[in-house]
Amino acid sequence: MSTLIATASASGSAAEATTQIADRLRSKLGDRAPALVMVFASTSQPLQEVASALTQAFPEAAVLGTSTSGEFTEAGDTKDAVSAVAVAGDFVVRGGIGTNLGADPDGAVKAALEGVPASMEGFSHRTGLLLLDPLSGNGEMATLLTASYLGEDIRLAGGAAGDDLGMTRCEVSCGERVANDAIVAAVVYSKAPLGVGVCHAHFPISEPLTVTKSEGGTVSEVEGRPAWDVWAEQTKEAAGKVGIDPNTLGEDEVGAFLLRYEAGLASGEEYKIRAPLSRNEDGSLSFACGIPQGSKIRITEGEPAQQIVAARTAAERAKAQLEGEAAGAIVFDCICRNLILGDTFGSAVKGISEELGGVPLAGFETYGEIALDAGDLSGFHNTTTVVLAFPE
Amino acid sequence: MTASARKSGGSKTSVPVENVAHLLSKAVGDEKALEIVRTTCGTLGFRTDTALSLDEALQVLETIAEQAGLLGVTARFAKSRLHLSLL
Repeated sequence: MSTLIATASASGSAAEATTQIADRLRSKLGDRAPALVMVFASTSQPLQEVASALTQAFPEAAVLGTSTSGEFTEAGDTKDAVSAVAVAGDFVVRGGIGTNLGADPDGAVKAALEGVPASMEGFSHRTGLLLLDPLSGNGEMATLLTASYLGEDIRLAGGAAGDDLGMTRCEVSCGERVANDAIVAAVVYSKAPLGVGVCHAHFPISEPLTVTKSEGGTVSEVEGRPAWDVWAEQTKEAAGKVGIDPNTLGEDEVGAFLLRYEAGLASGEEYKIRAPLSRNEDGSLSFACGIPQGSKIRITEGEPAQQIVAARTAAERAKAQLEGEAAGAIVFDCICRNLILGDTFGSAVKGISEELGGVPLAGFETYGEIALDAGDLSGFHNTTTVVLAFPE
Repeated sequence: MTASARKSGGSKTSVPVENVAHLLSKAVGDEKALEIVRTTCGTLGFRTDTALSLDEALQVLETIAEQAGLLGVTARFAKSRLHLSLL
């Protein structure tokens, strides 16, 4: 059976948007039943309403969803809207949701995987699909735990929910169940491998800085000083070049600023990027995953042209893992790339589609991305584009 | 071969300390990872001026894996990856 990928985007109230999306997806699918529907909803369309409506509209599919900081399809990107993708073909999808991710990541992951079988007869390939709340501060831990429980051979892809840069409540959904501080874990069982590609284009702008006080995902001090003070000082020159003064930012501008200037951990010749999401009253910074005390970080930034190249590279890498052509893709793209690219973000999305052969795709702007291949030692990323490509 | 590896009759595979640290570097960065591995080697009585035996490397990761939080989970994950890559 060939793969059919249908995408749709709509704005308006949650009820209006989901009605339009269900109609458009059904129209594109024809008589094909989707195995998977993923929905990406801005904070203007409450995820509970969107997830319930689409779960009822597609009872034959696993319906997974997340709140976002921007949504897109191959037709372009939006704000304050809903986008969705439906996947029909030789696939079976099983998943669940676990809560209390911040306090008990192990329990949350186990709960999400409770009804997920280790294998599916007739389907020799498995790909894990994750959506999680980054404000839990346990993005990397949850990813590694999921990979541990699902087995060594599994490839993972996914994203961390957004909330239109509010940094207050990020939700994920599985069926009609919606929660924050939660993780959705699903497995796509397929007859041919799916492709997962990841790439980022950030580079360091500071000397190595030591995290001198941290707990979990909260970094209180860097070089013995409040973390924010060091961030503002170290980014002042680079930020000035794009017309930003970190010392005069309003509270509602700090989240977007931090997402432009993220932390990089040196790992061989590469940098593992870690996103600070918010500034706290005491000058500490909250990250999407743990930053152990004593870690050496460099503050990094990205350059627009390289962001577009990185998106194409992620698509190229995903395609290389397929045994043939791509039918379409789901894309998890860091919100920082939208902040850096501005109006040209749409061309980066188009580049991904072109690299895969002009296929349909849908995705959202994240606070973190997940990509882990067999043999990888880390699966939670920031500043990247992650492309999950489906075979024809 | 160290006393520990001889005692366990372990594998002849050797693993440079830097390679063990690299398994943790995506969680904490190169510098901190190397510091943690060296400190743990010291605690376990392993030399760090020569490569570790596979058994020693696994013991180092197992010890780090007892820590709570991201570092512990990363070490547990790295241990299984090391097993797979070398066995």
